[in-house]
Amino acid sequence: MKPSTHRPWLRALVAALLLGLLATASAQVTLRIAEHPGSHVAPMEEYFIPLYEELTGVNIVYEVLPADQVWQKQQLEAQANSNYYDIGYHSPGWFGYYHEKVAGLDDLIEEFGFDLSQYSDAVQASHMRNELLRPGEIIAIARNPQTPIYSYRADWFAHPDEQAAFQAAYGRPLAAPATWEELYDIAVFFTRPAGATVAGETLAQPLFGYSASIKPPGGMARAFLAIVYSLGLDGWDENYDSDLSDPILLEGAAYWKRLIQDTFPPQAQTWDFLEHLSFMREGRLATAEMWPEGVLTVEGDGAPTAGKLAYAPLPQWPGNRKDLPIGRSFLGGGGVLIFDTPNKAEAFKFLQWLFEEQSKEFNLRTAMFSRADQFTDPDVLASYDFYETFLPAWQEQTTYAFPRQYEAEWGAVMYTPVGEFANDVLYDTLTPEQSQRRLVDNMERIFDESGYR
Amino acid sequence: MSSRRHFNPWAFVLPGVIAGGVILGVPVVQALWTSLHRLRLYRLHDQVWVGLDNYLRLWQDPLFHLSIRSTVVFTLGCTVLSVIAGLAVASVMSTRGIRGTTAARFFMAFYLVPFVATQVVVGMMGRLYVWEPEYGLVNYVLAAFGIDGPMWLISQDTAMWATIITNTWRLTPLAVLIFYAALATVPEELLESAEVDGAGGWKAFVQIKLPMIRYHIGFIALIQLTSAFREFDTVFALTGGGPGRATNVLSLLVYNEGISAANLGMANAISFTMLIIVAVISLIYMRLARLGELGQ
Repeated sequence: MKPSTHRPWLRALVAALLLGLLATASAQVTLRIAEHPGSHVAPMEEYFIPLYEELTGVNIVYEVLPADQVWQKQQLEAQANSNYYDIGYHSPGWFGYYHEKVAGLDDLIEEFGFDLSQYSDAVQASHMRNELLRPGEIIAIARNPQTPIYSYRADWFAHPDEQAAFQAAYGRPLAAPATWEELYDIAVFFTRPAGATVAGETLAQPLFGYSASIKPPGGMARAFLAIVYSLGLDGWDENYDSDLSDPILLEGAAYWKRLIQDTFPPQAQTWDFLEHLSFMREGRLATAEMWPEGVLTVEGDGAPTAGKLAYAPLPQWPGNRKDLPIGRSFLGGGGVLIFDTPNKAEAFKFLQWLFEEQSKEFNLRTAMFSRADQFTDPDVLASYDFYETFLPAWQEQTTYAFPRQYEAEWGAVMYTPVGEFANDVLYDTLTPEQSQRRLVDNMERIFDESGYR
Repeated sequence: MSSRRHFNPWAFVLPGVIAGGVILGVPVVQALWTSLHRLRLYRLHDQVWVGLDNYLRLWQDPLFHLSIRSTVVFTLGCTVLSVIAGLAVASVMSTRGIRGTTAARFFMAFYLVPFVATQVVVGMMGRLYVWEPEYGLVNYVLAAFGIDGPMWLISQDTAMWATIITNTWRLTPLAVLIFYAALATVPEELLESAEVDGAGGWKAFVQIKLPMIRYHIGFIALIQLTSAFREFDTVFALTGGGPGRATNVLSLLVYNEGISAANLGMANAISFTMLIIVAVISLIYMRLARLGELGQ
């Protein structure tokens, strides 16, 4: 009989190693994050997540979803109690849909000592709490509260040829628009075919005057809501009566249709959130809606447009229902929330590390502002030249931004239907009056069903 | 003895009938049940009986009628084009001298790629690489002939055509497979006799081959019709229902109502209406095409 070559100590060693590996594998925490697209994604993927994994051994799966599918995927997973995501992206307008599945953070904040004083009352109210659905609780951490502003090619605006031509055509100097009608004039002025010149240079491709990303219904909603809220409309009042039946909405829709048809690149209709900024980066767009989280697309390292842009608040709609001195959109952007999974404490530790310990680094790499210390840090303020016009415009715009109502129905009565309304008017699918009636009927029916009225 | 003879066949099919009943029946009944309720995605615990209210509102909605129109155009376009393309390719492939060659076998295998490709991928490829106005394949080819191609997916005049053609590309391989197999069953001597009698290739195709594979054509047309009628992925990835609502077929309407507008009751009412429509069309079609005679 041939003696066995396997020795008992070797077997024991192999078994111990296997058991050790198994134990390590089972003990390793994996955090799964649902993410919204934007210029912060690259710093997260290339810097913050690898660094945290290296420091802690925690494994992080980072899923970047198309903008309109983030909340849908989170919602479906949450409703299914799958515990699939530990951390999600949170926008105030979507939160109500799955608020019961989100972890309350007060205990974790107390346990780990998170400094809430860095977040203003307004940011806490709009992006970290929902007093209607989760009264008295912190349920998210603000990451990038923001509202869109106006961005334009300052180098072209300042060019003597352009100044002279605009003065001759419109009888006023070429400058950031004070009204939406002025914005239209400027956009038309800069919309030029290939072969024309701009600021003394011949255009290889057509130049467009203004754009936002208006892929329906989400992109169209996001962009058109800047008109709706600039008109001084809120959607509904404290009695849940809709103000969208106001005739001024049809004026706004007619203007929006004119602006898109005369000045937007046709491709804008297929663009998802922030995609139009890539077009601007290529020098094919003179002015654009700017959600601040997209600014590094045009101002980041290597962008041909870096240093050539300036920023201003959205223009006023004269005769708006609230006498607003400038235009406004909703207070958007968002934060991150933690789902009520077994990993919620680990998820909180990661977010605390990211937003407290790495606060300055996070801002320097993403240009996202949410905390008071970011707005005052000299290194942050000196990090980009464009902050000179960008931050004042942002802060002024934020003062007038519309904080969305807390009702879970916001998406079903405002976001999707307003996008459909604008889309139906733009393409003459329905008459403007039919579209408006449909919008208002939908809102009233849902509020009646919900027992609000 | 007699009852045993009748029992045995039923015993064999009973497990399949039960499984089919559970797998198909339960969701259908649930969809019907939900369609008779008011149910919002953000209030799943709050289901309120509304009877036929969702159906009544649906039929009064002009956008539903628009979606029906889009769905009919899309379905007929995909069905007709895929059957014609399938017949054309299968005929060429089964021609003497081509049939059975290594090249033919390779081509048949290669041709299956669209059929097994994920539909969302097909849609994304279409949007980014085929129909994209500046860098897409179609306009690139047209430009080679000096033609300035349109903005296919952005113009309401061309978006439906681009969508139909993309989906037809995906549907055609199934038709090719079935027609190729069917054409192989046409007796060679019959074709030789026709050739002796002076019938050319086209005449033989129309007067001999087509009648002999008419049931296959009917079958494939039905499969393509039902497939195109409920198509979602390709259209969603390609156009999202736009521009405007030019390609907003019924399945996208279901998605928009159920997910974007969070109205599960209405979404199920549309789904159930689609089921009834496709069932009625299929029954009428099967009767007209006499597909019921198959197997008798």
